[in-house]
Amino acid sequence: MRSALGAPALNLLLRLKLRGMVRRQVRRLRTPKGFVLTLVGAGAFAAWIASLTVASFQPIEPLSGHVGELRVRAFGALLLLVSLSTALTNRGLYLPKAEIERLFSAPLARADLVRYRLLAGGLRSLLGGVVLGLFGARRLPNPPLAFAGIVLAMQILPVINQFVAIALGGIGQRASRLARRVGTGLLLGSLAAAGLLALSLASGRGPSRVPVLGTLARALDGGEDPLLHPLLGLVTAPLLPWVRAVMAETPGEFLPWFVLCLGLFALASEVCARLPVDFRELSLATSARAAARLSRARAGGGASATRADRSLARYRIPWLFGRGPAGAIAWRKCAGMARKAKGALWIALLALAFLVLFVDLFFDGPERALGAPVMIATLGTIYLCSGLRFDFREELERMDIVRAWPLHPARVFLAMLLPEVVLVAALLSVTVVLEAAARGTLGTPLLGVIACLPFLVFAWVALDNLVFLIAPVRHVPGQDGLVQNAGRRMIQMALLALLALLTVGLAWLAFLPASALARELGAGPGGELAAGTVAVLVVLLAVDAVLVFLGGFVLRSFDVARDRG
Amino acid sequence: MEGTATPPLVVEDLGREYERTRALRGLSFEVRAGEIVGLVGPNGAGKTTALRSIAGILPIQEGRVLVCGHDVARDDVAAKRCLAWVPDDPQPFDSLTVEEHLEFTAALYGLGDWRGRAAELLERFELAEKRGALGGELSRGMRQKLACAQAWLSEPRLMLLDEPLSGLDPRGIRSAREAIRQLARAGTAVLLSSHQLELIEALADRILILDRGRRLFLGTLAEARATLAGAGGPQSLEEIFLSATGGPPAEPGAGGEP
Repeated sequence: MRSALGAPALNLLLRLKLRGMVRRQVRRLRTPKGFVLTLVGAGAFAAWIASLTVASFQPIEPLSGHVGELRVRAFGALLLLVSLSTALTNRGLYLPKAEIERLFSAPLARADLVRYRLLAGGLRSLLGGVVLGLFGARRLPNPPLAFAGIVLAMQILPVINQFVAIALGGIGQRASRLARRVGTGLLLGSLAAAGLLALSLASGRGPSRVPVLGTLARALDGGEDPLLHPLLGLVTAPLLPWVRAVMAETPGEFLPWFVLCLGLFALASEVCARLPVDFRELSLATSARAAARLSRARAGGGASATRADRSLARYRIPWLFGRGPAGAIAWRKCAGMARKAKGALWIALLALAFLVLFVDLFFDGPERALGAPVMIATLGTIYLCSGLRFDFREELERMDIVRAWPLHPARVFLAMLLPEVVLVAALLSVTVVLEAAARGTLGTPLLGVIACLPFLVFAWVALDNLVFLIAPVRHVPGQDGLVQNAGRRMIQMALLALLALLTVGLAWLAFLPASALARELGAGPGGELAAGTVAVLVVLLAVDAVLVFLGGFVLRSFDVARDRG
Repeated sequence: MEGTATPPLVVEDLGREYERTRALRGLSFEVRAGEIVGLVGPNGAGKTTALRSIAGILPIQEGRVLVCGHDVARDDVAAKRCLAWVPDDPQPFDSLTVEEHLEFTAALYGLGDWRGRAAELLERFELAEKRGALGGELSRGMRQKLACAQAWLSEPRLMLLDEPLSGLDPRGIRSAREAIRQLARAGTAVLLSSHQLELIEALADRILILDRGRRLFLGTLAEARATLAGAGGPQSLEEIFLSATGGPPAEPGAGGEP
């Protein structure tokens, strides 16, 4: 027997899974640690939602008319592009590994499996729709109507995603590889476009030092650029019903568009469920790939969670850190970075380019010579180290092997972190030099920043790894234990920020007397800066040495038998 | 420190507790050079915990472990240089090729002139054709063979093997068994944990039976028969094991349930 929403057994499975999720959350609340983490995580989430809700009641000049529609269209197009990019990379019908073989072998119609998946995807995007609605509705002409419109618009995304993923299910292997590449390119392009849009809006209407930002800002503000409007209009024309529902000012204006969107949603869902494509083989491959990715993410996350590139295995990895036991550990890390970090490095370069544009918004005077590189170095270190996780954070599944290595734990700690530190410091050094060269601010302050960078990066990576080794956890974003892990991450970040501030404070305390002493001794501004930099270097070196010692201690007492669930 | 008569492995009163569970209680034994000791016990008996404690992976909570005369708790680096460990579920590095795993191991243990021996081990463990494959591409059996090749490369004085044959095909099982025998003949002390009792029976000079963290028996198979077997004459290790650790599982319909 079937209901309008699909096979009852699948609906039951969905309900049972939801109940299981709630049950696991309740179980977590029973331990003191789980309770505290839930409290922090849920408290932060509730505070965020509350702030969005309160903000939605604050008066703000709403976007309306042509400018508003243009911005809503641009944002909608970006969301659609991101959704399409995942459809191209994960084709077929995605079902978790634990379910796929059982469900494919069960007496169920293919259409019912698709409906089940759409329902699960719809529940996920409902939450996303509510958050986006709370965030965006206040900027639109009629917030309650806009909220309903946004929630409904978010529901169509998984349907379109699934439609494309299934429709492309029948293409050959070569086309399949091409589709994956196009998907990745689309994702990167969408992220770049989103970044540019955000920066152009932040840079305001005035003439920006970066021409493209100024052009985009003017285009989004009503259209001085004749090229962008027709193009944007054409590309985003299919989004019109949803845009009109979101932009409606009165219920009378809203209702017809809302009903049309609802109808399109139902029609698209049904067409998607009835697509005559046998997606089983492709789905099995997609599911296995996703399971492997999740497993790698559970073991480390970030760039280290990508699969090593087979084609790069034929190149020898140079032994940059010597041929001894510690050099061997660092060499292995270098091999991981060389063979796995290609995609992450592209994203890192993109992010650094945006960081340079972002920093440009803050400085417009003589302070930029020191301020810009310091800001790039600080934000860049935090961002790059969270993505390039070629350190202990990718070793949780292998800590028993690491513990068995015949090497002092402090040396293991140092060797594990060095390659990542060198890579991040090199990337940031090149970025600050290029930025300063482009702005004509190359000079002594920049040299000081570059000299301190490796030690600063090491301190941050070492602190991050210390915190991880003290309280390690396997977690994949978006998976089970989301609230607790949000809480854990917040506590960890607070601790990290505190320790980092302490380090920076110590460095500053060393900088001041050293540069004052140089001034007393008659040194010029260059000499003062040099003396201060040397003092900072000494402090950072001492901090790094203490961190290596502590890392060794924590590694020695690391208990591999403890469950990191 | 390292006397010639010192057995490669001496375990004295080894104990360990996980939160509220007692995993090992007062475990004492030694493994002499060239000897193979088979470690058997039911699930949760403490076999892997014992092996991991000896390998220096778990901190020693109670008792003492001497590897080649080095106290694992005080001088773990020197102890680890003398031993090799094959885990029950090896996780190779997914970004290194099979050959690079051996290169890494050679550098880690400071081995000179290792290439000839590595080539020999790749042949022995049927990895020669996979030498360029990445660790993440290997099947369960191949991962096991790679872990064995890495362990054999450093020519350890003490070899700790935790279920070394799981996942291997019949040919792999045969060559691994032969490799273990050869290792012992060359003077290496071997502590071999396995649920495959016929393997232990075929290879081990002595048998150590653990149950709930305690040593139930340590001795040769003949001594086990004399001590633990009933009056029914010669018995297999499986029968001895089952009777020592609480009797055989009930046959279907043998009682209990109506």
